[in-house]
Amino acid sequence: MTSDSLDQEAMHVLSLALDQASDMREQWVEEHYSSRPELIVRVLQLLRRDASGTSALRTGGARSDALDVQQPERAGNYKISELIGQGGMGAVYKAHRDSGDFDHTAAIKIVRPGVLSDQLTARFERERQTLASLNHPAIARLFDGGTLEDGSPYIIMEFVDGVPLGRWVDSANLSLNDLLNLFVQICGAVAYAHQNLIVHRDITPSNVLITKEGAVKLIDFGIAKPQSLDAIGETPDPESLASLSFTPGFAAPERKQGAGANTLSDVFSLGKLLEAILGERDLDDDLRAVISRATAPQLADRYASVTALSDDIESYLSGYPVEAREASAMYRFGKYIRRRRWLVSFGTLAAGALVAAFVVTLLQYQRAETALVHANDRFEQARQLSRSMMTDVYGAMDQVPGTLEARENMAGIVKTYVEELAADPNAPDNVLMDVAVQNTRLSDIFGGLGIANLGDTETSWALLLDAEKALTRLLERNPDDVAAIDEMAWVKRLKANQQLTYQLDVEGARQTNSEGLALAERGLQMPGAEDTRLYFRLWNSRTDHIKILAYENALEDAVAAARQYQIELAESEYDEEPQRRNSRLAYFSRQEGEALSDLQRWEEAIPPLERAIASYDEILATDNSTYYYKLQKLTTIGPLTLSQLNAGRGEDAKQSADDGLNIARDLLSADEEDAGSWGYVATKLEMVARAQSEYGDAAKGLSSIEEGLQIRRRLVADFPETLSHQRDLAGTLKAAGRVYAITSTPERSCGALNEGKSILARLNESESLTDFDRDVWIPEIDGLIEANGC
Amino acid sequence: MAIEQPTRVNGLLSAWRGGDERARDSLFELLYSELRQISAALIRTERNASLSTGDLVNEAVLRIVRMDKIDWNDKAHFLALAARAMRRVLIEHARSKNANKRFHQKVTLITQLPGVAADRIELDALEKALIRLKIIDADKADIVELRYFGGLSLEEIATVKNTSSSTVKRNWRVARAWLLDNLEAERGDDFRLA
Repeated sequence: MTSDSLDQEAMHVLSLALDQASDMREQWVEEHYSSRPELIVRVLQLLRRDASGTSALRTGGARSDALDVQQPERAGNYKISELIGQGGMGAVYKAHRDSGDFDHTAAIKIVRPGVLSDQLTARFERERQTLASLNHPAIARLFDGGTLEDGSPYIIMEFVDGVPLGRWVDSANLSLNDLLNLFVQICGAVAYAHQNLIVHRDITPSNVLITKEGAVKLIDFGIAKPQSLDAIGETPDPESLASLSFTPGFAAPERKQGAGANTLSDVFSLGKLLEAILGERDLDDDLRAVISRATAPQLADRYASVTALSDDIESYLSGYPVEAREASAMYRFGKYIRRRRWLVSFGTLAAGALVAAFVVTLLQYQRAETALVHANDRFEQARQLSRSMMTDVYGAMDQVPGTLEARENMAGIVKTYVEELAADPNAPDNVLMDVAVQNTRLSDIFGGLGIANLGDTETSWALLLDAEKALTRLLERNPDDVAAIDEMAWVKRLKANQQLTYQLDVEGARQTNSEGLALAERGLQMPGAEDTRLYFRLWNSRTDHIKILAYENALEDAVAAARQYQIELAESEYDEEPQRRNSRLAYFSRQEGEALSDLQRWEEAIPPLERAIASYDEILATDNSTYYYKLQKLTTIGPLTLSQLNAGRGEDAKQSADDGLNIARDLLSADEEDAGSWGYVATKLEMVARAQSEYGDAAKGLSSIEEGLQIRRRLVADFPETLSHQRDLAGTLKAAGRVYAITSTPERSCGALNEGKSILARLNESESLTDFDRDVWIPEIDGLIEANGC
Repeated sequence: MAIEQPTRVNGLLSAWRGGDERARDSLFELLYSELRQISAALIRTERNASLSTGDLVNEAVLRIVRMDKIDWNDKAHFLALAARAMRRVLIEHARSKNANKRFHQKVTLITQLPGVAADRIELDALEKALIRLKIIDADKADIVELRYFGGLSLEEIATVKNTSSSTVKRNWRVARAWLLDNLEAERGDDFRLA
């Protein structure tokens, strides 16, 4: 308990802070009372409490807090026996099923009559359904629900005879290993929920129960909801579920600022939970590092997933280095020694070798340290170095498959450096340009479309915005800087593509695309334009324009524009490499074919697609290592196979599906960590499965679709934030519905279709589907469900 | 009584204004017994759950005094007195309820939905916190009593406290934050159900 005098002072400071603008309060307190850390802590606690958005202690609220609740006799088939607890919204009772067929004890939560409006009741129902789909041994099951006669909604849940984690830890006298193993189990349950697109939102020691048998049960998904609802909404409704409910002390800082919850907020809460259950123990540096990584205030500094957190704990348990620790030589060496203590004890020879190895490693480490100091000292040299790394070295490497790890290392060094450069408000023009160019390149490494990347789309997007910011500053100084216009047009293009592909924000993509087109057109009129790449920027943005039309499902427009651009390009007098022009023409043919295929004009779609593939083959014949063209060919094969399938050309379809799969596997083998390549393989497997099941080998069809689904599910689990993986999973489930109908049982077919349908419905509800997905996929899946009599 | 009471109350009010503490105590006793009668039946059931303590206080006050016959200043002070009476009624109710009931774990329900009253306040715990707040900052404790138990508006509280409504509002927010924090700290070991 805090002392009265401190609280008195804290309340005084709080009332001064409340006079500041709401987003400045915390900062204001920290600045004005920097010499009084204990006071700051207390005031910030109170500030957060003030901002918690709870409606407790309302004007005249005393009476409703004093109300008694009447215990209903039954709910559905359950006879209510005793009150377990109650609160402002209703009560929880223990109940028994007595309708004869089987004996069963459950917990029933009944919401008070009149507490929920009709709209909220509907929402309650929906959440109930989502939660009912969670089936995991460490998550308390939700069985059923309904409405009492007086209109109060209720839910029936697994009755957990257990004690809250906090109390159990205090009483059970557990070893550190026991606690960590328990924690890994909790992580498993949370990770499972994340895989099912559900964020818990309120992970605390009291929401984890331990049964008499010592099993973990995660409870209180009452406030959980599909994460996609939050992930997209940039400005969460202050009245929303998300902002109403969290437990201070365990909720991630972004939640306190009113942001929606996502899987990373659960990572934060798990970190806090770990800290809480380890309590008074003397923690070593590893565990402290794991906790601080999990509870990092910045999302980017946290573990990227619950699995990554729990992997680190498991590494710790088996004596391996934890990822959270800075990889210093001393640290790694220490781990090595501990793991091989038995070896050391065998004799001085082995120990001597280890010491020698240690000395060498330490020397290398010190050398690196010294180099770093020098690099910082000689600022201009570092800038030159980084520029050459990012333009020349990177430029040479980025089209070469298999260089991902090398590029990742490089990226890490350069990113820190660029951040420092950008922080200088008086940075000269050439430095700002460096910042923009390097941020753009870094963005590619982290999540660039169409090139091997690290699959980290959030970082990639943030870097693009940083590049845009630097260029905006530059163009404010000189609006006619043609080099800046050139780079900006490029950034706009990358941005539009990420909006379209990763964020499924078609509206935003169209806006960015027209900004880019306008910039390129204006820049091309300026002196000096011939020294830039603006001509390419223009044409590339035009290709994007068509793609966006396709996403908007304005397919007729897309076909017309693609044909128009093919004509203009054929007439262009710009002195362009033949291979480049060839590839551009191929691209427009492909866009035309894709749009026609989307319009289901199958026969018409085949010739332009075949034209495009022929052009790509021509290019690849001379330069077989080019990742880009393989990828282009690969993505052209998709709609071609589909058109052939639907036009009844079975043999052609089987052939092109196999071709596609071979290319996809080829790309993947070059870089197994490339998330994009896994997606391509899955897409092609889907095609092979369809072609084979409809026109050939049923067993091959079945095994292909299984493999495809497996890849999709793994991608969704590994990158829960990237919504397009969820949409793709739905697509593969849709194909699986067709394939199973032919090669397996109707039950399996219906299972896949229904799962796909519910994913699409969830994405649609959060407005994360493109027009095409909504207007074509959803009816298609509904049609299949009906045709199969599901 | 319906006719005599207001006259008597008006007399007590002017005596109180004149500094007669016994007059204030008599007024309090009057309000307290009236509130007990009104609220006892209503507290027991869910019926009319939408009535706030403010409604009850007003109802009680109306029964014993014609509000339009007394001046605004007196009215506010009178309501403040009623708020205190209400607080006592409700706390007594909460305590008797806890004493009668067999022990079970406290449960905080978290099926929180937008636009719905959030966590319910345990009146017994609140009472303890309010007593501590009174020691640290009596002024703020008064505001909580007037607002939460009495349902008084900011203006009415400003009149009672002889200050501006913006000051009242700020102090209310501070007091509320402090109380919620204290209640949560007390409740740290609570048991929550899915």
